Amino acid sequence: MNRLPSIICTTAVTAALLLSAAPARAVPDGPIADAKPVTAVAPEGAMAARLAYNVGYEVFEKTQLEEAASVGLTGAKAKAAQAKMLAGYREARERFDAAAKADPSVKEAWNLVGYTNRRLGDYEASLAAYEKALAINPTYSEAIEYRGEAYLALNRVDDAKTAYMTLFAGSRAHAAILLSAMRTWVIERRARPAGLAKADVDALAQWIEERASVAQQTASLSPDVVVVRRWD
Amino acid sequence: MLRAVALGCALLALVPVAAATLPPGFAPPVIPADNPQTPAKIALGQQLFFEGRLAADGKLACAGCHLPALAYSDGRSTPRGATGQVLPRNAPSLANVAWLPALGWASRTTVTLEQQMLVPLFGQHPVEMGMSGRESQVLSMLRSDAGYVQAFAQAFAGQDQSITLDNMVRAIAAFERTLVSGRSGFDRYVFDDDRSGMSDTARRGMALFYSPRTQCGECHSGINFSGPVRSVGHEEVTPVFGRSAIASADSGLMQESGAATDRGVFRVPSLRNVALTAPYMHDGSLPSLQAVIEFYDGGGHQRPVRPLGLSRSEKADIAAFLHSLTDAAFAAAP
Repeated sequence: MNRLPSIICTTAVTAALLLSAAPARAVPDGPIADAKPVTAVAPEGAMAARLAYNVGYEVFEKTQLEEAASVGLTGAKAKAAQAKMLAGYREARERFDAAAKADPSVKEAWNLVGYTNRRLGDYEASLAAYEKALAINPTYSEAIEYRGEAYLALNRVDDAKTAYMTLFAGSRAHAAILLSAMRTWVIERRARPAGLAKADVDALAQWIEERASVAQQTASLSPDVVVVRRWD
Repeated sequence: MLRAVALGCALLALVPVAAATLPPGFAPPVIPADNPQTPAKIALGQQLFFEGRLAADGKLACAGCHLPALAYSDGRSTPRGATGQVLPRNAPSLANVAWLPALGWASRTTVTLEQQMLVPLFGQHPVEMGMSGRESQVLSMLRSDAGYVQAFAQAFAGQDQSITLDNMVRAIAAFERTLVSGRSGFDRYVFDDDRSGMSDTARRGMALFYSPRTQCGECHSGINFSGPVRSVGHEEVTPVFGRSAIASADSGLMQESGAATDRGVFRVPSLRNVALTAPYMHDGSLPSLQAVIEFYDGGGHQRPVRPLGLSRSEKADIAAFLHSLTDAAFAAAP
């Protein structure tokens, strides 16, 4: 589902299929509709982009599975798994980058250029790629969430909070993922402050709990939640 | 997928309450394909909404029972129709009616504003505006008014005879779809992270409102506090009806369905701007929010509302929360 469709189809529908392909996602899309109409792309560029994206996605998916399987490893095994993971993300980044360059209108490719750069520790390149994805569709929930995580890595807490609030209004599922990442950030910064004041970390921790409470209380405001109760 | 996105974009382009201007948390409403939103049509609808000459007495406009300053309710227990008949049910607020999956107090089959409007305009049991039997008179009035001739022509360009009852209904419905209220203190706190939007008291009230203890939020769920709402991508939703806790001779939904199990069952009303829409319940029998809270705290007149056992301060908290649902800008809009 996350892959772009087979290249065995006419070039006339290539662009449409490419642009309608679902992005890599951790959760289903939220209720936000695309804000901008789909623009036409050159068939050659679209074809090249799709090919690069699909190959990259295969590597990306494999790397994610391997990363998940490596949780709990220690010592040399952990080190080897880490090296393999980085190599996987490097290769995937190369492919997604090629896809984005072949067809700059593919927000999914930019989004995964951002993701792989973030996982490889290049946060500035990551942010630049998310900007490209969000310039195509400012309500692209997955990119907003990923960018929020990049902000956290850079200790840009206010920007991460803004990202959360944007997601809260449009995609509760993505907002919950970012809130979870914030909790992890708090745990990590309490263990290794990296120059941050304890009070700042505590303030975010308090904010997280308040927002989690608001999210839990107001879950039914989201159109995805259907509450039907009849008094009989 | 692409079609859905394209449709969404088309809707947004036509709806002055477009995504860019919709309050946070509101998905675009569903607009009937045969009645797209246009500025000219909305302007005409607004004019008609305030037009007293549509009614049998030449005075009672839609706005006579739906006053903007009262969030489009009327402040009375039950309104009086154009012929003087006292109507049996309270005039509900029209805030966010574009998102309601069912309209009126007790109907599952009235699902569009165009359908619903036939009730106040032409209904005879009871008579609200009393237009039935006066259709040609109303059309003559509109056709002899140069302002309306121009406004209908602009709103329904290309039609040989644009001044029709159908178009009148379409225009009013288009106007009603612009009655969007989503900038209350609650919204500012929940969606903007603005703590000044809700006091500590109101926040405690919110926690109580949504708690398993009171279960207020079970029925008053969704962005409109009236159950699930219809929006683009969420077209098929089930409206929430409940057996009224009020003892009343009104058979409610049973009038439409004929089912004995629907006796006394009514649609769950919105709580947006509820501090402005007193008196409360389908018959307007409770005069204040305080009375409503006391009523539910005591368990209501009949099952299944159980006594809540709220303390005085908890009641104040819930009242503060309900006040935080007031959208002052909405009520102040002309």
